[in-house]
Amino acid sequence: MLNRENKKLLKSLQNDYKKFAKKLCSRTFSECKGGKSLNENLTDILSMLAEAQAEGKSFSDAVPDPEATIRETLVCFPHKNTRLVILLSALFCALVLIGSGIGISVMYRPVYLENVKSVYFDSESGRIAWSAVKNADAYEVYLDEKSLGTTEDNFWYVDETLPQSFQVSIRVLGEGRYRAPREGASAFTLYAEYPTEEGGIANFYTETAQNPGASMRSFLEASFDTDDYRQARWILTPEYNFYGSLDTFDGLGHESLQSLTADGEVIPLSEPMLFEEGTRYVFTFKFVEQYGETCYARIDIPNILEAENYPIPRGNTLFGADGAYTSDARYFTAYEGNNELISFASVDEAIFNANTALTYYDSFCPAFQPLICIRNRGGETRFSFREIVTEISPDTLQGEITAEKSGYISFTAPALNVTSRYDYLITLAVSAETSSSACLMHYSENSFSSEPHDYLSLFEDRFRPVTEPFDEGGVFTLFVSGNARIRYEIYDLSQSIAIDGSATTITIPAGGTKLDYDGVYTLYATVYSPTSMLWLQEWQGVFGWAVYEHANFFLVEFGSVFLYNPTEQPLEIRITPLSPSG
Amino acid sequence: MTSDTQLNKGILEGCVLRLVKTKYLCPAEIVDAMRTAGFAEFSEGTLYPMLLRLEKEGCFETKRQATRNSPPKKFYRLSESGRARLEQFYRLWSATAQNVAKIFNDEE
Repeated sequence: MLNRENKKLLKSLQNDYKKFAKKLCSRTFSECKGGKSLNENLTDILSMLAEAQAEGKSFSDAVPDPEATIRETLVCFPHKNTRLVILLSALFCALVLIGSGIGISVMYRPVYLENVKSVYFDSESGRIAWSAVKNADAYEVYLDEKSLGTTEDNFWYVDETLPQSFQVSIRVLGEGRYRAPREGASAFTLYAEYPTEEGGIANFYTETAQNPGASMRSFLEASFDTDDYRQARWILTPEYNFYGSLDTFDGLGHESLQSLTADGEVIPLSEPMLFEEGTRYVFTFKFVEQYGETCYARIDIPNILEAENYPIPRGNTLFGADGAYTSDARYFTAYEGNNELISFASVDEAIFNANTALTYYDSFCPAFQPLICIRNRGGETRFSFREIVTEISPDTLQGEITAEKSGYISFTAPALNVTSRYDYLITLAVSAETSSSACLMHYSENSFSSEPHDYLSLFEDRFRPVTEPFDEGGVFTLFVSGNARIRYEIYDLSQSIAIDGSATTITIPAGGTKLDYDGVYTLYATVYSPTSMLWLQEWQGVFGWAVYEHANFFLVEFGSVFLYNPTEQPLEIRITPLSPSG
Repeated sequence: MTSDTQLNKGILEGCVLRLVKTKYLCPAEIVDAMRTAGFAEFSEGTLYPMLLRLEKEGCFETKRQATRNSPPKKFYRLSESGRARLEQFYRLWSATAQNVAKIFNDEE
């Protein structure tokens, strides 16, 4: 088999060069003797090919007649004595026939066959080799209980996906002995070595934007270089329960990983399953081709608010019995409600009237009716109901939630005045505590109306504000893994600016303001702090951001804009009408 | 150039031996030198089985030299027994060439 240096050289070749080199290596090893010297000579040849390729020579220029070249190369090596074996076999047969013909009886007695003494397994190539047995005609190879086939050689390339440890049995065949399956077989327990990626959700968490301004896609992903290996292993121990569907692919398609097994069980791909907290999942992947692409294994995390990814089957337990505050099953099982994608048991508001510490185990509890609900797994969770907004007033910090452990935190912002819904804005500010090195946060907004749900994700280790308008109240859900401090603020945006046709300077308070206007204007931002920013956001429709630093301007035409000021200092902007008449 | 005849093979082999008579050359340099000399179809595919065979017969001293961006290159130079092989080739070639010339000249 190819040594490591030659494998590297082979990997460096491309297209026709690679095909030719593979064919040359394959035929050399199958037809010629001398493992080490073959490898040394192949190194020279592969180096020459690599050099020709590097010089940009076309393959047909470097090797015009591949078959002739291979033929002439093979002539240079000593060949296996297949002809001699055939010749000797023929001579032997002739002697037996002649002996029978002239009436000489040949005494025939079955020869004694020993068992195979030792077995060697090479994880990289999948080659199982064993000590040859004298007088053996062939060997039958078993992987666990399954017969893989029979060979006259004393090695076998295993093509199957292998678990970390497996049993191989070799049955020696010869002279009519051992006819019963596996009789006389020597069994050996072998161990496969794989590149292994191990960790929890935080180690593999990834997210990508599917398109700007739209939903994010979250998943766990492990990547493996197929170089030198046939398989890889991914060991995942989730820090909390989650639903996900497994997927495997490479950069070009879905063919690189044939199967996925966990502890020997084949797992169907793309079927959502519950990954349980603390369980150690061992996935074994088999690569279709070695020396090829980087392969990826992925677990897609569905957006829990999307109906097609409804993650929690109806009737699933949301809380452990210890954490449930009532024994009534409808209060701690999932059910599907009217016009709600996921509905959960409502909670008597009275329970939260006091500053009560509650601990829930193993629960998914986005709030529907409760004003606030904190899901936590085993650790302490504190929240203060008294600080939850009951009135909305401008520029006021309304409350603070501290989540010390993983879980969902949800709260409902009530729409107090139906006629002024457009004038309110909820700002969620999320900052990871520095004590947590792996803080993951999802932010999702779910309006009470049945509109499509936005899904925003944050993965930041610093303070980051999120701004969403809401019109009919809404449920804002934060999913937090790791320690996090969440501060939320609710602003009244009903500030309106009167513009009388001349340049006007207005001050944008911390948080931002909505600007109503009628006409065409140029907005000049004069920002004094070098780190300050002013975001201009379209009031309705798809959000578009404009970032202003120092003196900059933006043209607006008829309507409303929301000027968002993420800093804690007021910012001034100047408004100049382009059309005084409006 | 005619195709791969035994005569041609012998000539090509002699020329390769001559190229590495006094200095180390790598395969790419040998191919370039042969093509420059007029053997336009001479390729790596022709060269490396020849190098393998001649090296096995002891015609070369070799050395490897590391390169920055590619695998280490192997360089070839004629050994003592290679020199003997080259001299033998040249004697045969000279005699053959004279004989051929004589016949062609006589016919004219």
